[in-house]
Amino acid sequence: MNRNLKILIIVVGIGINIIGGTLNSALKLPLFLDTIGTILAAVLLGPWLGALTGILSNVFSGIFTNPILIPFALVNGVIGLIVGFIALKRGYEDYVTPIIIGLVLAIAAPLVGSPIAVYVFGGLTGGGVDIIYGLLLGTSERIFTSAFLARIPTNLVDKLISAYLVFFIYRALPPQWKMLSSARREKKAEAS
Amino acid sequence: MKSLYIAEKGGYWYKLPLKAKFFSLALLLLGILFSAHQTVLLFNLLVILLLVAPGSGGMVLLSRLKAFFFFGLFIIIFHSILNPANTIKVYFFGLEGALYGSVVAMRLIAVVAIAQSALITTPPKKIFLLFSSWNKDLGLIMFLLVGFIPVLEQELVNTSQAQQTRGLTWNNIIEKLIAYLAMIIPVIIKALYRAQGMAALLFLRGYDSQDRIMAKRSLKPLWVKGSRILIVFSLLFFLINLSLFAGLRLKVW
Repeated sequence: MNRNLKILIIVVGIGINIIGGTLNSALKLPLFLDTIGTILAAVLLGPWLGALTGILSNVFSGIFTNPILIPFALVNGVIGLIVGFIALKRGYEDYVTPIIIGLVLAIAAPLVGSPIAVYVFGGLTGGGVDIIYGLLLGTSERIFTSAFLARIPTNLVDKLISAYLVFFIYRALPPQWKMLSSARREKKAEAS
Repeated sequence: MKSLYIAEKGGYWYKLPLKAKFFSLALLLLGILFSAHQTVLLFNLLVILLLVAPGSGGMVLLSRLKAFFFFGLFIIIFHSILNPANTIKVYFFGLEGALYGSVVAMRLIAVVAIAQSALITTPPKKIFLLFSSWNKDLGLIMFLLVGFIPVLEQELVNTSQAQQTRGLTWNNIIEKLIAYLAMIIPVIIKALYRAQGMAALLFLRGYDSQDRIMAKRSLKPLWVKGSRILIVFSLLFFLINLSLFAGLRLKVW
């Protein structure tokens, strides 16, 4: 039963990622908001299954909508890993953890994403970020640095909102859902 | 769900067994990723387009590549104006930036052509079967998702209508953000409860991932008659590109 629930949480995480991204583009928000499911799965199931959720959601939307999304699975996977390890270490019940996660992800996601974007697209996205990228390219004179810095502000807002959204949902979940994550934390505490 | 697959057009990519097709396309992709010099890349792009386009319904592939041609043009113009490496300039178009941009654009188009040819000629069900042959749970996750996404979309529409009748509007950016939260949170909660129900159903129907061996049987092995020429060709393509890459990097030539 537990194993089946884990599989279904991964499915739901991927679904939320895709639906979140769709709703974001439907409302024309200048954010991504397509990692909520990854963060939720990483908090509930731990780092490795969280990373699997992230990678599979990009692979799935790559297969169905646009194959160029598949290389960015790496970014989503890294997000799952980072959130999973932080949640394993600190729990996800206090108000500080989402801030830490938001700040770490705001650096880590562009750090992994910009090299891919520079290699595949020359650093361009075809969106509003390109204007900041162009301005930075004129002043900093380095392609990677400009692509990295241009992505930080959007990512910071995006990941903070996602982390707090998951935080409020996680706190409201019934205890039997939290068992999945708290049991793992206790096991780790016993081992150490 | 609507996918990128287009029903049989009669090209040879349709007839190839799944494993052989993905293996040779992966080798072609690696070859492209290793070709760094613009002349090599131009030649490679032509080879890829000649190999891939006739086998996967020709015009369909080209029409899907059209957007990327324009994006590639945008990349070239952007980098020719703004690339920091520009030294030689014709008016305000820098040559180095244009060269860099054209390398990126050609690589992008080649990569998209390879990926699209795989997805045009293979129904998603078969790709998931490939996943199932690696790991049963992975395949199950993908198959469940195909049914789950439309349910979530319907849930989103319902929630959106329900919230609008309660007076939700989105005119400026703050309102949009609030609307996003007001719509996504109920969808997430409903999805989690549905997950619990579906997990119970899987348990009741006796799903145990150790018993499923169907997927492995239904896929043909890699090295079969009819796909050998293509595998050898793509292997050669990859090896030539790898040696060119190593030679250029180590300054042998």
